[in-house]
Amino acid sequence: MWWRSAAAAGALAARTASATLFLNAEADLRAGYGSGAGGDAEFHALGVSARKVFADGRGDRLILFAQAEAVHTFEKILLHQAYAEYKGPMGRWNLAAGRVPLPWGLQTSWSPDRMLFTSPYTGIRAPFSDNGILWRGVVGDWDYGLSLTQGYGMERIEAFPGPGNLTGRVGHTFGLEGNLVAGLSFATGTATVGEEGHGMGDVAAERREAFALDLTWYEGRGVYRIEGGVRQAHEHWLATLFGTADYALLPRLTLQGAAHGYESHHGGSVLRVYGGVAIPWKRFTLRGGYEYEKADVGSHRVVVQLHGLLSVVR
Amino acid sequence: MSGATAWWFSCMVCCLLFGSVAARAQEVYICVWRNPERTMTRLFPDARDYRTVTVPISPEALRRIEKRAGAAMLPGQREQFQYFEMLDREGAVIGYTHAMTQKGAFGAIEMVFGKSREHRVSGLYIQRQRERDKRFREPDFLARFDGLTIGGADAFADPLGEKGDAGTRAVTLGVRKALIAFDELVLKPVAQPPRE
Repeated sequence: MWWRSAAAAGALAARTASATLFLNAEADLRAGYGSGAGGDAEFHALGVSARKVFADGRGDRLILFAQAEAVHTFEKILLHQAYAEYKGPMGRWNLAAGRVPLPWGLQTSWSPDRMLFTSPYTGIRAPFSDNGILWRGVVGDWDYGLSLTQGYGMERIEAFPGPGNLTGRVGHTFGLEGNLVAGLSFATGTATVGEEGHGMGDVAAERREAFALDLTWYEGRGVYRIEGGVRQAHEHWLATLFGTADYALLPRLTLQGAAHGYESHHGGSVLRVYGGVAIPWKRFTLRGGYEYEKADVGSHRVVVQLHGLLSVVR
Repeated sequence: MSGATAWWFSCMVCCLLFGSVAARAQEVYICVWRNPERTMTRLFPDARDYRTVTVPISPEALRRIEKRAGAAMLPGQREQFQYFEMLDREGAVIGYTHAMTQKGAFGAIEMVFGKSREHRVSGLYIQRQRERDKRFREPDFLARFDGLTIGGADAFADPLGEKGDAGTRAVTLGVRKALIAFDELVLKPVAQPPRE
């Protein structure tokens, strides 16, 4: 279904007046050592995203966006997003179709994918994107998003239309500089996510309702993010609480910390804490850190990363 | 997708990363503007919509811009100049929005300002910064940029003079660069169309 949407968007694009292309490419190289797993080194991810904006006589109108990456030393290619979006006046409403990002929590404007701590969305099976339609926009200090999707997330499409998933978020930005952002999210339906994230590990579909509250605070040299929520799956309500902090101690040294605790649908709870640093080096960022995880048994992991990001506009 | 496809995909990404001219930059100063429509609405409450405009910068234009600004354009800003046309219901331009990044003492300072149809600055907001000294964020400092014209940009200096700091100088330089770049890349080519 989303291929047809993309073709229609392409036909519409041919009629528009002007266009701007935003291109991003990134490389994520990692080496680490973990208790039990030993040492390893890999191209963790090589990713690219492209955003083409077409304008008509009254403004930017059509946006085509795609994002993909090759992971774990080229083991497979993962398609994160691929959609066409029709933009309404001043972005008050926008309608997208394809593999769209889900309006959920912190990941509406932030991604943990390049951070060295385990993503808070992995263990709680919260998908990043799914196939369907997304309605979103910004009205004054408020922003909103509502998506109706198949429920397969970024996994293989088994059938049409699919089990279904409804996700929504409403957010508010406070202050003249927008230094505090708060959001309330909900989801009902089916989420299909690999236990280790997108396309990796044991993949399972989970029927659930979920709610979350997220806060992002930009204060001086620090950025602080918190997301807490509950989800009802397998007839149980399971809680999750995540927080992360970035603080620029020096112009070229940022301290990073994160902590995540959640109740597992397997029973019991998982706690992870992370501490590390980030250092810009030429066009790259060097990161290094230590993560401790306490589930049934405790485990330790030390990892270093070389991350490169290139952005061009045409 | 197959392993071979993954290899080709990875090679393409590597070529983009390490083969591009832009990739030879030390650090890249591109303004990653969060929630742009919110700021645009504050600057232009009467705007119906906006259009993204990207203008390539030739080496000759880059030299003229840097000479007039008295400073080099930062990596990520040397090849393309981007701004936004603010439009009314009929699609006519009622003003412009500029998002600029300039190097402060503690990393990048990201700023957004509006410009009227007569090319006068009308509103300046700080988007993102990590500076210790906060004077450049104060409303009375930011208000000193209101009314600044393109004609006055070349000579426009830090409003705080010797009492300024890295943050106030960075904001001043960022606004000055944007105005001069707009003059060199948009206004002058319109005033002097190329001979056919």
